[in-house]
Formats: sequence, C-alpha cells, structure tokens
Amino acid sequence: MDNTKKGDLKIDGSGSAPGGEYNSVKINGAGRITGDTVCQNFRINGSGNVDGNIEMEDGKINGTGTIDGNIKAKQLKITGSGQVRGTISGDNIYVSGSVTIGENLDVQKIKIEGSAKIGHNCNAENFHSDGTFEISGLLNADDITIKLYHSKSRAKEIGGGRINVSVGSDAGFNVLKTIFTLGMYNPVLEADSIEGDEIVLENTTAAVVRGTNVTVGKGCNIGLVEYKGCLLKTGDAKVGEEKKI
Amino acid sequence: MENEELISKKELLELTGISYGQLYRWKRKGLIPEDWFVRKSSYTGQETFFPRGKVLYRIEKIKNMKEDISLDDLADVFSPAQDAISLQPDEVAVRNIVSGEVLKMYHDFRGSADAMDFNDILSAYILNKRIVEGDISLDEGRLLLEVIQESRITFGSDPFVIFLMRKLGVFSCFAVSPPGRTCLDKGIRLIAEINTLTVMEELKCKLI
Repeated sequence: MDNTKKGDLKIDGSGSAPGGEYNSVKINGAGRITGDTVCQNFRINGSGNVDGNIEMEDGKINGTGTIDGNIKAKQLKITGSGQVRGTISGDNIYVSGSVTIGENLDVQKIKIEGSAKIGHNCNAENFHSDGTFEISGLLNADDITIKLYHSKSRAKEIGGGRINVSVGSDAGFNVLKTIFTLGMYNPVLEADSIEGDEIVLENTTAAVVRGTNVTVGKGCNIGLVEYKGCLLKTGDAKVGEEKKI
Repeated sequence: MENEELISKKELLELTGISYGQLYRWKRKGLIPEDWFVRKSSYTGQETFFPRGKVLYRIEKIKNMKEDISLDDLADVFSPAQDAISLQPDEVAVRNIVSGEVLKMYHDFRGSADAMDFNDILSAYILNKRIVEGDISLDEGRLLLEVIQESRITFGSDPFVIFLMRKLGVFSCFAVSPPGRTCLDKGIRLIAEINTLTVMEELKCKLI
C-alpha cells in the first residue's frame, strides 16, 4: 500500500459504486460494486454484490454477500451467507454462517462452525470443522479436526498429516434430541479415500483408508484399511479388508 | 505423459521413505505439480500414480534441500515464475554466481552497471557457465547474449532451450521454445543444450 490516503466507500441505502482502491468498504443496505476492488476493511451487513475480484486485509460478511470472482483476504469472517464464484485464498477464514465456493479454498487456517460447500479443493494447514461441509474434490490439510454434530459432511478425498474425526459431545442435548426425532440427526463423514499419517475416525464411511497409524472407531464402515504402524478397531467398527504394508 | 513409466503412490512412499503427510504438504505447496497426480481406477476405486522418473528426481531434490530452506522458498525454486529479485553487481560477484570478468562483459553488453534483475542475472549466469566450461570465448558469448535477449522478446516468459554449436570451428547458436524438434546437418558439432527452466532452478537455489 502506498502512502496516498484512500477514501472510504459506504453504501447505506441501496446503490452501486465502481471498484478500485479504498480504505474501507461498508455495505449496510443493498449495494453493488462493479469491478475489481482492493481495500483494508470490508464489511457487508445487508446484501452486497461484488462483480469482480476483491482483496482485503480484514473482511466480514454478516448479511448476504455474493462475489462474482475471487476473494483474497488476510482475515475473513462469514457469519451470514457468502457466495463466491471463484476461489477464496488467504490466511484465516472463519465461517459460522454458510459459504458456497465455486472453485478452491486456499488458506492457512479455516474454521467452520456453520456450513461450507466447496466446488473443487480445499487446501489449508489447519482445517477445523464443527459444522458441516461438502468438498467435491480433495481436502488437503496438515492438521484436520472434524467434529460431527448433526448432519452429514462429505469430501471426495481427504489427505494430510493428522486426521481426527469424532462425534461432537452433545452440549445442546435437547436440541439434538428434537432433531433426532425429526429423523435429521445424521452425524456422519463420507469420503472415497482418506490418507494421512495419524488417523483417528468415528462415524466415518470410506472406501479406502491409508495411513501410518489408524484407529477406526464406533460407527465406522471402511472398505479397506492399509496401514504401516498399527491398526486399532474399537466399538462397532466395520472394516472389510485390512492390510499391513 | 502417455508413454512415461508410472509409479503408484504406495510404491513411491515406500521407495522414498516419505509419509502421506509430507506428500500432501508438498502438493499443497506446489512442490509436486498437480498434473503429476495421475488417477487410474483400480479394484478399490481410484489409485494415484506419478510419472516415475520425474517424481523420484523431484523428491530426491526436495529431501536434499529442505534441511536449510523453508518450503515456500523451495516452492519458488520449482516454479517457472520470474523472481522479483534485484542484486547489485558486486553482490553477484561476491556470491560467486558470475565471475567478475564475465560480469564486466555483461555490463558492456547491456550498457549499464546498475542493479541486475532476475533476467540479467540469469543471462550472465548462463554465459558464465559456458565460458568457465571453456565451451565458448568471450566474443562468442556476446552472440549468445543476443540470442537470449531476442528469445525473451519472441517467447515472452515461456521457457526455451538454447543450442550452441560449431561448424568448421565457427560458433553459432539458436533457441527453440519446446515442444520443438531440431534436425542439424552432419557437419555441425553441438556444444551444449541449455534449458532455461533447469538453469533457473539451479540459479534460484544459489540465490536463496
């Protein structure tokens, strides 16, 4: 960033503005930005559209944000609902609302408490989900922690260093019970293949699991486990075939 | 890629002693290119294969280098992107990348002794290597520099291969942007074939 002071952009009612370089961008009503945008702070409280790519230091989508391009962000919090046609790249992403990404998510750290849908791959150093996700391609992260609460999560492939999947403790038991009785309680992870160094699984269905040390816990249904160190099966784990390499 | 010998992921890990975590980390960092992951269906669904020669060579390189440099720097070494680097000529000489004499000639050629960008250093580095090897003389080096300069204009940032040759003792050189094949007359003696991608990797290692 150079030293020339950049202006702020604020849309309170309904309006549209051109892209460009701003200090802060705030959309409180219904706003549209046309063109690529670079800013320090970015916030959507109402409903915002960006027709282009956007780069920010710190962003927050509280309302509804639709980005018809890519997002690059140091920090991004999505507590409302975000739709991104391209890729989100950056350092730290937190989703407590919902996000739909057309292409990839490439970040250092991602925490999902709401729901995330990713069209291609998810690359992160640290992947943590307390919510639900659907990744059409590969989930690749060094440290993957997945806590399953009430609904199904899925990735085509999962790969990384440490992979830990468990059923979240039922803090809101009554809520869960209500959902359960409605037939919607389904805390399951599904994947075609899971590969990692240290793998611990619960409630997971996968065709193949390959790793150094693998623990297959309750509620699992795995077609084939290939392991180098040791394999531990607990509870009602189902493993079709196991091979020590 | 079609005719290359493939190696399965399992065999690759066994042979190189790396773990899944490392492989996935290197993939994330772009140290192993996406298009080397070849998917083929097997009885368990899908298995991943790699072009055997390329991947083994690359992993050997990563294992040898990763001790002292970060993965991100390493990713840079393997990326064909131009480095945003600029060095003062004395530094290039002090770091033994290019000898003082060749450096002087390079300054004459470009008509300035200002800071050198990556392309400058690369040109001087290529020249230096040929001269040190005794393949060409300083005068002939000028011709080589001209061809490199022309190639950058013609090929842009695409990599290219420079062919150095001699016919009846007379030096000449030309550049080809791959894929391209060449056919030479029998009287020509090929002195060297310089692939800019390989040289860039080499140079980047020295610059880190």
